[in-house]
Parts: sequence; structure tokens; C-alpha cells
Amino acid sequence: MTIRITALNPQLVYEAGSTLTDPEAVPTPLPTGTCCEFAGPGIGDSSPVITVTTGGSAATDVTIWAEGCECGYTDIYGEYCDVTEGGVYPNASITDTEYRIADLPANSMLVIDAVEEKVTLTDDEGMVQTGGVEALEWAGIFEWIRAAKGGCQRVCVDVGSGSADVEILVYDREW
Amino acid sequence: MLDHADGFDWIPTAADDALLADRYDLVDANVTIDDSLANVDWENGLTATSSGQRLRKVVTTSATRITGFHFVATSLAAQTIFRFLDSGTVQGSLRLTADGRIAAYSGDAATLLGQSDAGAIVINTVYWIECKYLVSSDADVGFIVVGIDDVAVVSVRAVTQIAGATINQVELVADSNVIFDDWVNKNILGSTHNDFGGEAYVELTQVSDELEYGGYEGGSEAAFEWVNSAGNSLNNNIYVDEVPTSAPDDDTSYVHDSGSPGDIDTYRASLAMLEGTLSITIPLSAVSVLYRARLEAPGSENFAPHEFQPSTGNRVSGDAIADFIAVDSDSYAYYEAIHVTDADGAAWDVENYETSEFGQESA
Repeated sequence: MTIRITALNPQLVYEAGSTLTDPEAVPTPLPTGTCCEFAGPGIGDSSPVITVTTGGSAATDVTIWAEGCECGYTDIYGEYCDVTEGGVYPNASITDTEYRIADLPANSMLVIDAVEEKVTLTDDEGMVQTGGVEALEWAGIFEWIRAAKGGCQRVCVDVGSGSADVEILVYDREW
Repeated sequence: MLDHADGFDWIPTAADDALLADRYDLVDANVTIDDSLANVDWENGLTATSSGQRLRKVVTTSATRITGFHFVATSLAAQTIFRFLDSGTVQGSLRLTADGRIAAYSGDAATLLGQSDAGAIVINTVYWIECKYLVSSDADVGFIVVGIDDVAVVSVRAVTQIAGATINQVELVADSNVIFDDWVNKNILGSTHNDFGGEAYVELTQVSDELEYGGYEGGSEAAFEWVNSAGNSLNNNIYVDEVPTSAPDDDTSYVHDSGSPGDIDTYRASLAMLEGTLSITIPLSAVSVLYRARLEAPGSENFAPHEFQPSTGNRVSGDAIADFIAVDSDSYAYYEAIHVTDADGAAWDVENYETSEFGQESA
């Protein structure tokens, strides 16, 4: 079979370069809670630092809770288990340790630092809200932190709808 | 991977618009060429004499594709200007609106995914429009980005899948009030030319009437292994050096392979643009070699695009440049091979383009 070519014309393709980018990836949704074991030598000997980061869409019903909490434990803040003295909460004892953080807007980051007992929310405009133990708006979180520090085995985070990246770091408590 | 580039300058005049059918897979009857020298970059552009006139190209199948083109509207109206398709079903589309927006849709204007501000398109003004589309049935995965002059006016993740999970056709939709030029199409395969490229120009050149460049004596002459229409292999370059300011001379002058696999013809290329006076200062990014070829009898046969750099003696051929080219008709048609680097593997610039030779090897 013979091929006949009658014309050959190179086309020069010039390109200026672009600054366009893909839309920000949507973080992988959390199907069930993301949990992390406390790593201390004993219950209540570790504290979590939890970071929840949203991408291009909001995350709603963000909830944190602790599991395997032991009652009767007293730390420097006092007694935080007030159900069954000396008992152990059922696994996923959400009733007493769950705290609903609320909805997080797109492109925001929430850091719950139980080590430093500080909560920071960076919103989608880069504004930072920081609350100490006395900050009224985060009082519920600090109650939760104290409970979790007081004697639980795991800390978990769940996103009800939407999606977010969750990181949980656990630090040994320094007495 | 850049798999299609067209500045429409290979079509001599509006009267020769039937040639579009030799290169494209669907050409509506009233698509035509604007050769008024008053459009876009002062060269040929694509337009139409009635609404909804499609120019469709089959492209490499990919879930993600990028398209870009210069665009001028001489008046504003609500109309589709571009579509991504999967085997004839529209996956996504771009529309111009009467208040000067570019609107992005999934499907054939089925679901609005986002749009520019009103007034983004002003009549008789040249814009570079670039669009990247990822087909997905997952709203967190699929996306469309639309840029006007390299500013994103739409950037959204959404369900973008209407038909299958890929795109294998692209089409401009012309009308009498719009002009397109410098159409480039890419997928995300390969290591280069696989993302937004920014404003592009596609400028036609021709085979040079010179045989040698500088001191690289014999570079071209030694490569003449095909047979020309005069029955010899002397100065084959002058048989394929058509200046497309007039209709192609087809069987008047040509080269054909000798029947021996591995025979090579290469030709020096001219840097001079054949149309227009545009002074381009942005980088040379790729060379798209356009062949006009046919079989001498019905059937199918391949040839390999070939590139030679006489200064180093390096050659590349076949799928090291692009896919082997299958010629499957005894009527003339256009075939395209895109060279993203020179034969030494270096990025293009004016210097290595001028010293390179382009041609073909029989398979």
C-alpha cells in the first residue's frame, strides 16, 4: 500500500503559561468516627490535640467524643465523671462525653488543644478566634476536654455531613 | 498531552472551507472561515453563516480534558460556543449570554455549574478562553474551571458526567457573530502539555525551499528516500512545500513511499508565518506537523512521523513523537503529529526549530 503526501506544514504552537489551577480537592468524608487511642501508660495519662480542617465545602454536625472513660478519676480540675462511681463507661459512652462542636465553614480549621487547654478557630477569611478556659463560647469544649483528660481511652471525631480532614495527636501527660 | 492544535491558516480562503471536512470529524454545512484579516490575530479564524454550526474533532479519550481558544463576539446573544462530548453525548458545554457572560454547564446547557460576571465579554474584543473539565458522577471529584484571559471565572466541583466516564470529542459551535482562532486541545496524559497552558497562538509555516541549514551539509538531501511525482528522489522538499494561500495542488506534486519500510524523507521548515503579521513574544511550546496525504489505492497503511536534528544527528520517529499515523482513505485528508520536544529531547525554541527537519518514515 503506497502513501502519497502532497503537503507538510508545521504549525508553531506558542503558549504563554497559565496561573489557573484545579478547584481545591474536597477532603475525603469520614464514614464513621476517626478515633485515636490514648498512648499514655494509663487511663487519663494522655491528652489529645485535635485538628479539624475543612476544604472547599462546609462540614456540619462535627462532633467529638471520648470512649472507654473511667469514672471516679480526679485530676487537678476535680471530679468529672459523675455517673457511676468507680465504673467504666460503656464503649462509646457518647451520652456523657460527646460534644457537638457545631458547623465549620468551608476553608476553616479548628484546633482543640487539650494539652494547652486552648481552642483556636481559623475561619474562611483567615480570622482567628482563640478561647482560653474562661472563654464562654468554648466552655462546653473545655468541659469535654477535662472529662477526656480525666480518664478516657480513646478520643473520636465525626463529621455528620460534608467532609473534613481530621488529625488527632496524643501527648503523654506530664505530671 | 497536546493532541490537537489549529490556527485555521492552512485553509486558503473562505471559499476553501470544504477543506475542513478533510481534517474534522463533523462539519456542519454553514461553518466557514473568516479571512477578513480583521479578526482575532489578523489571520484566518473560524466562524459560520448561521447559528449552531459545529466543528467536531475526535480526540484522545480521557476523563479530563483542557481546551483553549481565542474568541471574539461581534454581538452578544445567548448561544452555545463549545462542547465536550463522549461519543456524541454532551458531557459539558460553554455558553455566551446576552449580557456578556461565559456560563459553564454540565450536559448540553442542562445544569448551570457557574458563570462569569456580566460584561466579562465585550463585543469586538479578543479573549483567550481556557476550560478544563473532569468527568465524574461524584460531586466531590468532577470539576470545571473556566478562565478568561487567565483569570478563573468559574472553578467548581460538581457532578459533570452525563454519558460515559470520559471525553473523546470536542467541538466549537460557531455562528455569524462569533470568531474562534488558535484552538488547542489537551488531555492530562504524558509529562508535558497536560494542564492549563495559558494564551496560545497556532501559526502555520511551510517546508523551506532550502536544503541545508548552516554547516549541516547534506542533512536534508541524505534523507530523501521517498519518490517524488517526477519519479526521482531529488529535492523532495519542493514537492511538499505548498503555501496554503491557494488550494492544495494534491496529485500535481507529491512524494510517495517507495514500498520499503524504513524509508525516510525529512525537510527543513521555514520560520516565517504564512499568514498575518503578528509579533509573538511568548514561548514556542510545540510543533504540530500537518500532513495532507492519501493512499494510492483503497485500504489502510501507517506511516511514522519523523524528526531529525542535523546538528546532533539525533532522530526520533513514530510513537516517540506521536502515534503512528494511519491513512485509511484514497482521498486526501489531513493528519497531525505533535512534537513536544526536538529530536534531542529539548524544549522548543526558535533556534532548534529552525535547525530541525520534519518528515515521515514508511512503516
